[in-house]
This record gives sequence, structure tokens and C-alpha cells, in this order.
Amino acid sequence: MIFTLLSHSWLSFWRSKSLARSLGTAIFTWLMVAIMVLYALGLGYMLEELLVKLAPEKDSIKLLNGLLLFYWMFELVSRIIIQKNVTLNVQHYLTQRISSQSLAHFMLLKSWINLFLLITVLLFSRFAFHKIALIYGVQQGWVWLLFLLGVSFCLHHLVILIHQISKGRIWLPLGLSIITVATIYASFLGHIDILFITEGVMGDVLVNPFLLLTPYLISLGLYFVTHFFIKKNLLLDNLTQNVSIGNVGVPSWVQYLNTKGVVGQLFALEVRLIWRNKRARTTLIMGVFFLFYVVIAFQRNGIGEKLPEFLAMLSTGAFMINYAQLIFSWESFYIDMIMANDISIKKYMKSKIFLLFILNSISLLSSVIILIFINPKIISTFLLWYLVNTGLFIYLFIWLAILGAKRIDSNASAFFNYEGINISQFLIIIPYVALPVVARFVIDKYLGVGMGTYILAGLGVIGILLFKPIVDLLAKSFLKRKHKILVRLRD
Amino acid sequence: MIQINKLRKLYGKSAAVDIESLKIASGESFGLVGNNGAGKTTLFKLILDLNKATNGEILVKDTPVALNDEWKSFTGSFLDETFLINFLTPEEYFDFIAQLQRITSQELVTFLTIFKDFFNDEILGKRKYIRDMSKGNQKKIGIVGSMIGDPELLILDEPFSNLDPSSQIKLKQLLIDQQKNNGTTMLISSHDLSHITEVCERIVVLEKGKIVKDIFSNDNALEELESYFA
Repeated sequence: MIFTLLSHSWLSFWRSKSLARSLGTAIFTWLMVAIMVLYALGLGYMLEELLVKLAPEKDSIKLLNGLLLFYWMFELVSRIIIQKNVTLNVQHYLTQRISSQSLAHFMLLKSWINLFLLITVLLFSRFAFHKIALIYGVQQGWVWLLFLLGVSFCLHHLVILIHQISKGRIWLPLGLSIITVATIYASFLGHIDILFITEGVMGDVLVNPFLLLTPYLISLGLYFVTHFFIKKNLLLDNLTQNVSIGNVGVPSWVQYLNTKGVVGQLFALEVRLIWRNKRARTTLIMGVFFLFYVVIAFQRNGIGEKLPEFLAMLSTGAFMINYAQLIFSWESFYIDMIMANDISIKKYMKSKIFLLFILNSISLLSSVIILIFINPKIISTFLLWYLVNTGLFIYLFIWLAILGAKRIDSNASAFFNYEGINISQFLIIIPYVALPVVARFVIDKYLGVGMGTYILAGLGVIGILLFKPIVDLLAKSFLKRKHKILVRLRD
Repeated sequence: MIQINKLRKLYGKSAAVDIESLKIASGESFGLVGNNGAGKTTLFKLILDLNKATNGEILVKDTPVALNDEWKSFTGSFLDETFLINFLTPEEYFDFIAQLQRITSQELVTFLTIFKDFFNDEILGKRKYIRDMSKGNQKKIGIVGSMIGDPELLILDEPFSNLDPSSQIKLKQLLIDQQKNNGTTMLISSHDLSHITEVCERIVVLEKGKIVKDIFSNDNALEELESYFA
């Protein structure tokens, strides 16, 4: 029976609407998975070298064994955020002649197919067979690697258990994540020393292979405890999401905007859309990583020193880049309603532009705050590229979205979800990479240092000044394609 | 109110809607019936300019809907769940439409009291997003939303489906009152022949996109329709 159920999930994956609808999306999704696998492989390949660089005086096996604690804590938090609750897709089996025992086993077995286990293998295989096998023998290399895999299994079942116990309430996963991150941070700053724990444990594993059984026994225990909880929770009320919401209030500034005409009203609507729909919310939060990139990029000889223009462009558009690509798609579920109500398309466009303008301004502000501490000299470059993003790219994003809007579920999970992504979203990468390069290496070469940035920022200012006619053009272009867009957003 | 001329909507080679001519007078309550796939929803979507006609035109108050947005200011509509903004609470949704219709919060509160019975204490003040409500309650929210601002033209696609029997009876009365008191032009489609003959004065039967019957409701209308569909 479990195999029949597994074959159903296989079919449901291959026959899923989003996969069938767009081959491009499917290819893109697999490409992203492939890239991640390659990254893990690459990192695994260089692991030994990196460890030597990190602490040349220390034994790299001991060092890695210690650092594994960080890795597992990081894995735990990532799993809490990314790993889906296993219980959501079995409603249609509940009334069939399938024992709840089998259903729970099925759900757990199915959950084993996940990237984290694969990443463990990819990251640590080379180290196990190159470094550890060399010193302790091949058998110990296997033991070490399988132990890591066992711990990953433990974490896997632990997170399912956490999800089962917390039943959609956020305090347990959130609390655990905060504690874990705080511990990592404190240890990083040297306030506490925790790395000796795994250094010791893994050292013992290397001399006593029987310890390999421990993570698997714990994992087995966790499996059955989780199995018990899943079986207990196999009721419709538990499978569907916790529906009552504690607080539906919105911040007062949203309420204020809500009273400021149709544009303000639409803006306030979109703020709620972002806040209350998973994919929209996560997509914006991902922008934070772009901002963190600023910090990394200014490390020694980073791209921050070589091509700050690129960095400035990426950072001042950090939130816009991901969100604006799907600017109409977010509203797939109710676009008919917007079009059938008394909302002029020009005002609709203005609300979108206003939203992206606010997002860019938040990006700029955050970047500047970071830069004050890292490299204040470069703030002016960021200001100029903010003008480029605001005066040119907002319009470009909206125009591309008009050409290539596609239906998405804004409340679906955002991880490895490329529904709605198509060729026009790739096209935007070209100017994003090319413009800073052109500014720096073409215009600057002929007109003098910094001129490239000045000229593009000037164009941005012109774009901002031409706000009204550009809105008219965008509205006209939208109206011309309105029915096509509606069809595409509907199915 | 509505004038349809030589309207055709083709999907591939088959016509979803194929109407030579149709006039709907101001204040008329117009019922649309037909089996699945007859083209009822497509016709409504064409009137609301959500789909593009292959040929022909639709005039609302003598202005083509495809060329001018004027009709939006006096038209209320609810076709399906795509008319709901599902991450809002019912209150927020009503408020959103009320603002578009330039109706004050006070007026909205007064307006909603008319539907107190219809809501059966399951809609307002529940602290739930629309997406978390039952299909029946979602339908109620959509119908009431479409009536905010007393639109001159009201378009509802199968408003009775998914509603419990009491709510169906209440809705029937609400629609009859709306038409009688405000002179609203109503376009309603339904699979329930008895409801539609009670609410609408005129019934049009669509089959494969074509008008095959156009009758005015009288004592025999229900029997005539039943014998047609039998």
C-alpha cells in the first residue's frame, strides 16, 4: 500500500499543473537544484583547503568536527524554516480503506526525499574518503560519514516532531530558531565555547565505530514518536491550517494610506497581500540576503572594491528585484475583481510604482546604514544607483510584467517555487549585470571616471520627472493586453 | 441598459457565445439558464470586459464596454471566488469596495445591517480571512460585496449554489426587494429553475452559446423550462 501511495506522489509531482503549464519553469527549477548540488559539491571539494586557511595551526579533522555543531544548528534552523509539515496532502486518502498506520508511515517515508540528506553526502564525502580515510582508514571514513547522515536523519525527524507538536503555532519553532541562532552568535563572538562538544563526540566516533549506531537508534526512536503524533493528528481539523487569526489589525500607517484615494487604497491592499501570503512575504524577505551581500562583498578584494556600481545597483534594488518580476502575478487570485471594479488602470499602475519606490527607498536606507559602518565613502555611489533603480528599473520591471504576467499562488511556499517565472524574468538580468559594467568600463573610459554612473543616474532623474507620461504609456500598454493578461493570470 | 450585437466568442473553432442580438431594458430582472458549458459565465465575463469578444459588441448605456470604463461606476458583480480578495477579512473586503464606491464607513455599517439575517452571524466579527471561510459564506460575502453602493446594474453568476436552503430563500427575497425598491437591472444565472423564475421577470435559455428561448416569467414559465430541460 505504501508503495502505491508513493507512486501517487510521484504522479502528482509530474502531473502538477505548474510543471505541465510551463516547461521553462520546470527546467528552471531543476537548474536551480542542479546549481545547489554543484555548490555543495564544490564546497565539499574545497573543504579541506578552506579549513587549513581558516586555522592553519589546527588539525583540520578536529576543527571540522568542532564546526559540525554549527553546521547541525544551522541545519536545524534551516529545516524549521524550509521543511514543510508532512501532513498536508493526504486528505483524499482519509476516507479510503487505508489504515492510519500505513498513512503515517507513508508520510514519513515520503519526507525522506529531501535535499538536506543529499547535501550532507555531497559536502562531506570527499573529506571522509580523502582526509579521514587517509589517517584512520577507509572503514572509519565510512563510519564518520554515515554518522553525519544519521544526525541529519535525527534532525529531520526532530523537525517533523516540532511541526506536529506546534500545529501551526509559531512560538515553538520560532523560539527554538532564536535560541539556536543566539547560541551560534555567542559562540562566534567567543562568549561561550560549545565546539568542544562535537569535537569530542566525533573524535570518539573515529576510534569507536560502534557509536555509529547512536544517531540511528535515536532517529528510530524519533521516527516512532513522530509516527505516533502523525497518527493522532490524522483528523481533518488538524490537517487543514489553523484558521482563526489572533490579530487582524493593520498598522496605523496602512490604515492612513487606505484613506488616501484609490492609489493609497491599492497600496494598502498590497501591503496586506505581502504580509498575509507566504510566497509574497518570503520573496521580500529574501531581499535581506541581497543586503547582507553588501557586507560580504566589501571583504578583502571582494567585488565591492572592484565594481561597487554593481553592488550599489543590487543593493538599492534588493527588495524590488524579486518582488517586481511578479508584480501582477501576486494578484492572480483576484485580478478579475480589480478589473471589474471602478479602478482606473492609471491609478492601478501608480499604486504599483509607488510600492516599488517605497521598497527601493527601504533598500537604500538599509544599505546606507550598513555602509556607514563598512565604507561610508561609497554612499554617494549608492544614492546615484538608487536613482537608476527608481527612475528606470521600476518602469522596466512593470513593462516586462505586462508582457509576461503568469498565474502564481501567492500563498504557496517560496522555496524552490518557480511558478510564474519565465523568459522575461531572465531578460532583466542582462541590464542588471551589463549596466554597471558599461558604466564603469565603457562610459568611464571615454568620458572620465564616474561619468558612467552620473549619466545613468541622470537618465533615472529624467525617468522620475517623466512619471506622468510614462504612467500613461504603461496604462495604455496594459489596457492593450488586458484580456491576454487576464487569461494568463487565470490559468 | 444593455445592448448586444452580433456577439461571438470562439475558443478554437467552437463558439462559447454566439448571440445575434439581445436587449436588456433598464430595471429588468434578467435570468440566464442553460446546462453546463452553455456559455452563461462567458457571456457575463464578456459583459464585464474580462474576456475579449471574437466579433461583435456589447453596449452598456449605449457605450461599448470594451472602449470605456464608465460602466464600472454603476455595475456590481460577483461571478466566482476570483472576485474575492481572499487574504482580507470580510470587513476589510467590504470596506475596500465601499471606498471604491465612495461610500463612508457609517453608510457601509447601515448598509450591512440589511444583511444581518442573511449573514446568520457567521460573517462579521469572526476574525477570519475570507480564504478560511466556508464556500457558502464566501459566496455570501461576494454577493453582498457586489451590492455595495446600490449599483444600477447587478451581475451574479449562480448566486444560489453552495448556499443552505434558508440562505437561498433569504437571498431570493433580498434580490426581489433590491429590484423592486431600487430599480436595479439584474442579470442572474442559475441552475435552479424554480428560484430563477421567482426572482426574474425574463428568462433566457442558452444552449451552446446561442439563445434558444426568451420567455417572460408567468405562471407557466417554470413548467415550460422544466419540459425544455427534461
